[in-house]
Amino acid sequence: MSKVLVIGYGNTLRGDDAAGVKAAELIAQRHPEFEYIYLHQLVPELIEKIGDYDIVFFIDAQKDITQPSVRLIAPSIEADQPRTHFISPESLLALSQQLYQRMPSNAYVIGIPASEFKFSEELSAQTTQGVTDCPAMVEQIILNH
Amino acid sequence: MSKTITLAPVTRIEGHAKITIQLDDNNDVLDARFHVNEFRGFEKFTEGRLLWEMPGITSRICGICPASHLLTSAKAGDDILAVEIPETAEKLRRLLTLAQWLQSHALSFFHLSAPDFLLGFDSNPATRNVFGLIAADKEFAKRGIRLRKFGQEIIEILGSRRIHTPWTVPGGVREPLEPAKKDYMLGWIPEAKETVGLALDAIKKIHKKFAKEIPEFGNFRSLLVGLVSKDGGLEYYDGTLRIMDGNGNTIADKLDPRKYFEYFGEAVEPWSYLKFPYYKPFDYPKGMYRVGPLARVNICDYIETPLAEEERKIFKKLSGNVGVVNNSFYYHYARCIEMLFAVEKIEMLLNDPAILGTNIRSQASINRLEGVGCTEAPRGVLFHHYHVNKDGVIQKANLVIATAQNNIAMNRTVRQIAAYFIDGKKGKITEGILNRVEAGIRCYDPCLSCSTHALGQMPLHVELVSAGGEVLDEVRR
Repeated sequence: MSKVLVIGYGNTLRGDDAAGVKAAELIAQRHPEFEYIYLHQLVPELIEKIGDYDIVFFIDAQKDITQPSVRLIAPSIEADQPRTHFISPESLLALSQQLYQRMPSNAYVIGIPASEFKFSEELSAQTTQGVTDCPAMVEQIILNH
Repeated sequence: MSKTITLAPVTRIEGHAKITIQLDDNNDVLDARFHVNEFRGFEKFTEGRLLWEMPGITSRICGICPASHLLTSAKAGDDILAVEIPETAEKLRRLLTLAQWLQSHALSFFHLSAPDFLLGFDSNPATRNVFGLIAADKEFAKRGIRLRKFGQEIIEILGSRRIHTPWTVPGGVREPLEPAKKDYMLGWIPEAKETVGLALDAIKKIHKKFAKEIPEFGNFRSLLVGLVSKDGGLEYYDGTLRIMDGNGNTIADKLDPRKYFEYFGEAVEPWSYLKFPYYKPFDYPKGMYRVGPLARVNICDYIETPLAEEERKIFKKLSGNVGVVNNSFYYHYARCIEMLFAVEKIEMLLNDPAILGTNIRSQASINRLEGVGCTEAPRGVLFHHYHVNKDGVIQKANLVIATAQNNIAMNRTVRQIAAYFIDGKKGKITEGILNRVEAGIRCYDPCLSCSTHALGQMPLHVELVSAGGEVLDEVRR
C-alpha cells in the first residue's frame, strides 16, 4: 500500500483561499490511513518529510481555473527567484532531492477553483464544489498509481 | 524632466508592492518609494467575534509569524480580563515567543539573505538562491533549514498544531508541557547552538567581504524603538518601551506599551496603502523609527544569556563613537545575535522546573472594556488593541505591526541604495542593482503577508519610466 501525504494549504480567513485546507480535511474524513499537514503556506522544512512518502499531494486554491485540476510535478527552482516568503511545491521537491537525495515517487498539485478572497470563513459555491470533488480525484490517482 | 524607475512586485491574488526610484533632471536619484498596496479590512472582520476567539483568528493573518499574533492577542485578552497569568503560563509563552524568533530569523538569514552574501550580489541570478547556496555549501544550507525546523517543532509541540494554534488564550495557555516533550526539545540545543555559531562566523566574514558596500545599505540615523526588561535587558515578551535616538541617547524610557497610541501616530501617503507610523513628539516624517533586531540589540543595556551578551558587546563596537549602530545592514548581525540568545534562553527555560507546572491559566470574565497586548515579534514590536462590550464581543480592533513601523526607514534605505548604485544616465536596471535594492528591503525582513494581509507570491516587475511616462527599461522576474 502506498504511503500517502496530503498537504492542504492556504489562508483560512480569506474565503476561497482556504480550499486546500478544507479539501485535505475532507479527504482525512474518508482516509484516516493517509497523513495530513495543514498549513497557511508552504515552508522549507517540509523537505525533511516529503521524501518519506510514495505519493504527496499539494492541494491549493487556484484563481484561473473553473474546474479542479491535477498536475504531476517535477523538481524545479524556477518559481522562487524573488526569494520572498513564498516557496513552491516544485522547489520543495528540488530541495529535498538536493539536500537529502530523497523524493516521493510521485507528487501532484491539485488546484481548486477559487475566486473570492475577501476576509471570510465561507467558500464560494464553485470552490465548495471543487472541495467536494477533491477526495474522488485523489482516490483515482492512487488507484492508478 | 525627471524619470522614474519602478520595481513592482505583483501578487497572485491581491495586494502588491513595488519600488519606484525617481530620477531628477540630471539623472541622479531624487527619491525612492517602497509602495505596498494593502488590502485593509482585517480589523473590521474581527468585529463581532468573541475575545476568546481572537488569538486563534489573528494568528491566521500570517503564515510566517502566527505565534506572535497569538501571543499578543492573548496578552490583549489578559488586559481585558485584568488578570496576572500563572508563572508557568508566562514561561511557556516566553518559550513560544523565542521559538517564533528562531524559526523566522533562520528563514530570513539562511534562506532569503545568505545567497546574496555567500554567492555575491552580482553572481548569476539563476543560481543566486537557496539552490545556489546548496551547491556552494550544502551543510550550511541544511543547517539553516534544520534550525528553522527546531523553532517550528517547539511551536508544534506547545500548540499541537504548528500554524494557527489557539493554545495561547486570554489568562494563560491551554495545556501544560509534558516532561518527555521538554527533554525532546532540550535534545536539539547542541545542534542549534552549533548552527547559530556557524551563522555568526558567516556574518562576520560577510562584513569583511562587503566592507565597501555596507556603508550604503541604509546607513542613517533614526529613532530605535523596542521593549526592554525592568532593568534594561533585551526583552521579547513583556517589559516597557524604550526609545533611543540615532546618537545613542535614550529619549524616552519605561513607557507603558498599553498607551502606545499616545506615543506613535500613523501617517498615510497617497502612493501606498501601508501606513507610516512615526514618533509623535517628532512629527511625520522626522519621527521615523526602526524596530526589530537592530533596534532591540541597540537599545538594551545587556542580554541575559552569556554568549549573546558577548556578541552584543562586539556588535556595539560597530557603532564607533556614535553609541548606536545605525546601519540597516547590521539587522542581519543583530538577527544572528538574537538567534543565539533564543537558543540559550530556550535552554534556560526548559531547565527551569517551573516550566512543567500545571497551574497554567487564570480564569476571569470581562473586567475592562479595552485592552492592549504588546510583544516583540521577530520583525519588531507588535501591538493588538481591542475594545469589547460587557460580553466580550469585539467592538473595535487595531493591530500595529512591525513591518509597517519600519516603513519610513525602508523607504529611506531604498533611496540610499538607489542613489549610490544606480546610474540614471544609462537608463538601465542591472541585475546587480535590482538585487541590491531588494537586499536593502530584505535587511528588515518585511512580512508583507502580515502587513498587507495579502496572499501569494510577489514576483518582481521593474520599470524605468521617464517623468513623461515613457518606459525606458523594464525587468520582470
